[in-house]
Amino acid sequence: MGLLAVCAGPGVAGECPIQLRDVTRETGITFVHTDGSSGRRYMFEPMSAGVALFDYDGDGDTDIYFLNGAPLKGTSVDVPPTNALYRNEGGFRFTDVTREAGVGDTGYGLGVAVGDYDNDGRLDLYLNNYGPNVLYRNNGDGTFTDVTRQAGVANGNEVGAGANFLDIDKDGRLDLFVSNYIAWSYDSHIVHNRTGHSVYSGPRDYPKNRNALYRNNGDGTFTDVTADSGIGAHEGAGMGTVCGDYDNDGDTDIIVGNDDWGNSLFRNDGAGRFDEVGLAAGIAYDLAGGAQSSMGVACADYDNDGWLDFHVTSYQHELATLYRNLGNGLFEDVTRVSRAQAGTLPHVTWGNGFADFDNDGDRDLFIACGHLQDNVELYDDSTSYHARNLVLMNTGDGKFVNVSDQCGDGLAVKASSRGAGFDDLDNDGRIDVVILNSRREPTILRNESPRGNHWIQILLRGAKTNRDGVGAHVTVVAGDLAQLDEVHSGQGYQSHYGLRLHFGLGRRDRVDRIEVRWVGGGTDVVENVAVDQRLMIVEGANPRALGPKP
Amino acid sequence: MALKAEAFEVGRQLIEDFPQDPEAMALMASVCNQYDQTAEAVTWWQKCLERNPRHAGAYHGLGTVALTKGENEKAAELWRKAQEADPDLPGAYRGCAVALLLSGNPDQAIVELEKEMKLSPGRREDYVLLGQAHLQLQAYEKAVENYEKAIAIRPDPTACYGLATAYARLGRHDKAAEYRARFEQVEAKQDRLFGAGDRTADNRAVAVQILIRTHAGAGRMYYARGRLEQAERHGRRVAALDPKDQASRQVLVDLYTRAGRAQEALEMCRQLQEIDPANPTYHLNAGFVLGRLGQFDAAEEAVWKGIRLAPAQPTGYRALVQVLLLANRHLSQAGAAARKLVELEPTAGNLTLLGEVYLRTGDLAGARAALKQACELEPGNETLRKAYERLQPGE
Repeated sequence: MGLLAVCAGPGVAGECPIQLRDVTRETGITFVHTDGSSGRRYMFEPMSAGVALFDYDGDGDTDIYFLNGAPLKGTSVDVPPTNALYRNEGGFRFTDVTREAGVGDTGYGLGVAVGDYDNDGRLDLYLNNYGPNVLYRNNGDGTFTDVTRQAGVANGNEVGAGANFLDIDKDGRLDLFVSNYIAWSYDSHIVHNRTGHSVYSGPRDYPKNRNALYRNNGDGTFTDVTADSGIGAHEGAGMGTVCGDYDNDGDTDIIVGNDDWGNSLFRNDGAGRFDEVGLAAGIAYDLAGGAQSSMGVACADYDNDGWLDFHVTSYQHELATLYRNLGNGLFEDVTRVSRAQAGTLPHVTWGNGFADFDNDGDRDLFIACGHLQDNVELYDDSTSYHARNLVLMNTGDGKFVNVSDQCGDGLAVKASSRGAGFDDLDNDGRIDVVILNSRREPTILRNESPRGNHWIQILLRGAKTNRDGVGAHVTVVAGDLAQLDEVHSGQGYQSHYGLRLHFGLGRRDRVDRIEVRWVGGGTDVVENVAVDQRLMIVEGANPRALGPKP
Repeated sequence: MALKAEAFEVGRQLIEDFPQDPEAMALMASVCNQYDQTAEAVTWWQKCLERNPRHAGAYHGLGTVALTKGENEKAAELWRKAQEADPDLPGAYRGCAVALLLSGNPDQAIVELEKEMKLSPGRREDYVLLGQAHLQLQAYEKAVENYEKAIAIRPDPTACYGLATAYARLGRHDKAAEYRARFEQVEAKQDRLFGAGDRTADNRAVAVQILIRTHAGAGRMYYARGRLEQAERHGRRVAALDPKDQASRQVLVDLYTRAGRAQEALEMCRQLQEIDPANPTYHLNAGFVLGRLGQFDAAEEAVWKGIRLAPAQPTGYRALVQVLLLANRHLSQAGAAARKLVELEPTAGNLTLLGEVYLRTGDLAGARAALKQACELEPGNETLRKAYERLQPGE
């Protein structure tokens, strides 16, 4: 199908069915990211950070938490920068509630995950920093308490990356996976020179590191099971991570994108012990056997075949890679044949996510771009530090088409983007986008795609299993369309989004069946469901409508 | 930084010396492109095409830039233009194939790769690319076939990984495991070779290679245009930058020999002999130059080394005949060598050389017979005919 034909979908003739508008200035968000740099080029400065989208106050709309850098050695500031929490007031207006919520961590923020680790019905926040990490327990009154010390999850003094809550042993409690980057210190710090220009060093300049896994003891504390679980047997340079049941065996596996080393796929034996099978599964390396400089890892069933696929962003001159799950434990790099490579080669690509922006029943791809080297244009004019992000529209036949030039002014923004999150910020049934840009204000994209297609959003409430259904598989069947999704805590580029599942349905005006397979629990089935609504499915109980049509 | 400046200075000087010459523009474009100044590279290649719209190298370069920018369809189109301009241009079909592979057209890529392989058969990278194309088409048996050919030439991680992938898809798990293990071995070896930090493009070795290519290209240009002084300067710079570079030294041997600078030619020959002692040509060249210098014993010794390395090749016997004729000694040995030469390669030139040996030894009949045969091989060659007539009785 040609681009013109694709862009003559529902809505205005000839207009791309995906329309994303830059509404940053209208949101009231004043956050500006800093990487704490002072010209010394500490190697993780340009990694910048992720962003978390979650409903911290349980009021039914999605709030935004931005990570921030911190002054590094040689930098002095009067007021240290902090992370920032913005409460969603509705109508795309946000209020900075960082101080009152008590989540203004001044550590060097890199990665974030959200999960209700104590199953009290409130979403807690884990920050993966350079330096000690932080666990904020949600008090349920709009405030958080730093419980890192009592929980035992500070994770030393590592250079952090992605993080995820997941239930490794199906005991109904969320455990914690912490991705660590390389073993870096101020003493081992080096800078490279590129034709007379000072440039940041790379992951191969430093020793690899191992990731960490903490088992939830159920009493507010965690036990480090890195060694016992098998996770510690493998080193890498972990960046983005996602946890997903890739082999459909009912437990949650872990996928880690490693920077310039093969990606890791930790297969769960169901009891919380993991084997690393990335190479054998075909997801460690790209089609050519190349270890990519993996950045973000996103997960979804893009081809609606009932198996979770993975998308991994990477460095300039590498393709952001789409791994199709073949369903037999193997993955196929379909980047080229699916056209998912479009636009990625000249850029460093970071935040990523599958989202059905046009609600047509298949998931599109959003890719955040921007070079790592802030002076790259001085020695390489084929790329740029500030770059436009990419939207690849799923054409429903296993292929994508780059519609970035046709889908609104939101994609005209040039920044050096990093983490990205995807959720319906205004509860209008369309997935919006939040992008953390390195060294500047974020970009908020409002989805203004033409209405007409139907959708359904599903929020899970575990009873015996973990409270938010993290790891649960949800299958939505509407007529000839069957879609699978999974609840994730932490994904993309060191970011968090996706506790609320969103399914585009195209013109189908009734959902025939929703099946929820809980991690460590049974399966619930709901039938004959109205479309265009947000629905809460409670484990073992009747579903509850959360909201009328917007 | 100095290396980069030097490369650009070479390009700038070429443009100054040959302002209308598309080759100078192409070289300047190549320097810019290698230093990631793609906009300037494109400008120079476009200027080059204005002067010579059939400059295949310029299309090739433009294709490379387009590929770098992820403009795969455009890249494929540019390489097709390169093919039209010069159907024998090495790499033009491969470049097109890579662009087609990247744009998700493995079937079309295979067609291009097959053309490339007709042009220059047996290249490992072409088998690897064919393997990748078949893998994407899910033609796993064909993928295996091509990857196997690639690793038969040299095991590399890409081919080993491709084999592991293809065998896994075919359900041949033992073979898949075997090639995964080989992949890990080869990959680990590569990691050790690169070492920490060396994968970044800022290392000096990369800049030196760019400079070598630039000087070598400039040297060839000046040489072809009769500017021998400049050609020599660039050749010497390449030789200084790369103590192992053979091409620049060969050009210098040729240049010095033509200029009658036998001593300098001999020095280059000696360097080439040291760099690649198993290459018979270098010993034969040294023998020829030594003969020019009147060092006949050393000349004969060098030539015999060359002959021993390639006894079935005519070049060694030809060099021996030439040296012995020059020395005017061991003419019976020269006769035997000339006859062997004609046996291996019965050309008019070699028969003439045999005739010359016969003449020197007073065997006029033998000389006549050799020249007669030469004339029969090249009936239109007037020089030969006159030489033969001069050998007739009464002449």
